[in-house]
Amino acid sequence: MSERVYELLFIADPNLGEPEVDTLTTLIQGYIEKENGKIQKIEKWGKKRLAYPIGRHRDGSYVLIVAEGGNALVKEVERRMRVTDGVVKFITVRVDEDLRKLEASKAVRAAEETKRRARTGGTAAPAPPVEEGY
Amino acid sequence: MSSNPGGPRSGGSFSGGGRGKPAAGARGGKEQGKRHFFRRRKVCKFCAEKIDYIDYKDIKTIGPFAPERGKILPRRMFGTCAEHQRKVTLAIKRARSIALLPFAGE
Repeated sequence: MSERVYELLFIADPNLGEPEVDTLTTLIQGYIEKENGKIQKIEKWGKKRLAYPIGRHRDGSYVLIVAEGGNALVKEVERRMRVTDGVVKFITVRVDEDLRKLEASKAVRAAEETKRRARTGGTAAPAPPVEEGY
Repeated sequence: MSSNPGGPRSGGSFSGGGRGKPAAGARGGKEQGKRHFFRRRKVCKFCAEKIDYIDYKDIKTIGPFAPERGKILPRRMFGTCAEHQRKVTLAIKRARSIALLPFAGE
């Protein structure tokens, strides 16, 4: 059984400098690794304007961490983040199922494409798009 | 039996295997008197572009669905299909909770 994949996006205090955000990120990375989670990706978005003020903040530095792990991981990491200074807000989203569905539909599309090719006798003219909308 | 409403191509309505010409509009002698012309049909953006996963982090795509006041627009505005509208809604709600999109406008 493969593990679940979660996206953990959090807003760090905008008053923290670049290195401090890095330390914070490593700290959270540490939380994840302690719970046997595997980090897949870390992305720093930098400072952005918040769509609405949170507490006294109008800006925030966003950091995205994609990690693999179980539900216990999320529980523990979220608990820890709540008590960590410098984290303004965070969201955890499970993505593995959606990604799997995405793969599946991609495969279906590819199969349809080849079928269509075969039917039209190799001419690369793409058939009119399947009308699903209304 | 004398009046056959089937028009010029009576009897042969197999859905011709493959040479799919969608016979748009010009289906001659039927009884639909004066019909106003086609209104441009809205097609779901995500179906057309084959986007299956609507990401809450991607505000560029979702943003237009919740303009100005931050209200999510109804389906009829963009012609999104039900499935994708649902996904857009979810994405917008997620984006709101992490302050990427506003809950209420300016």
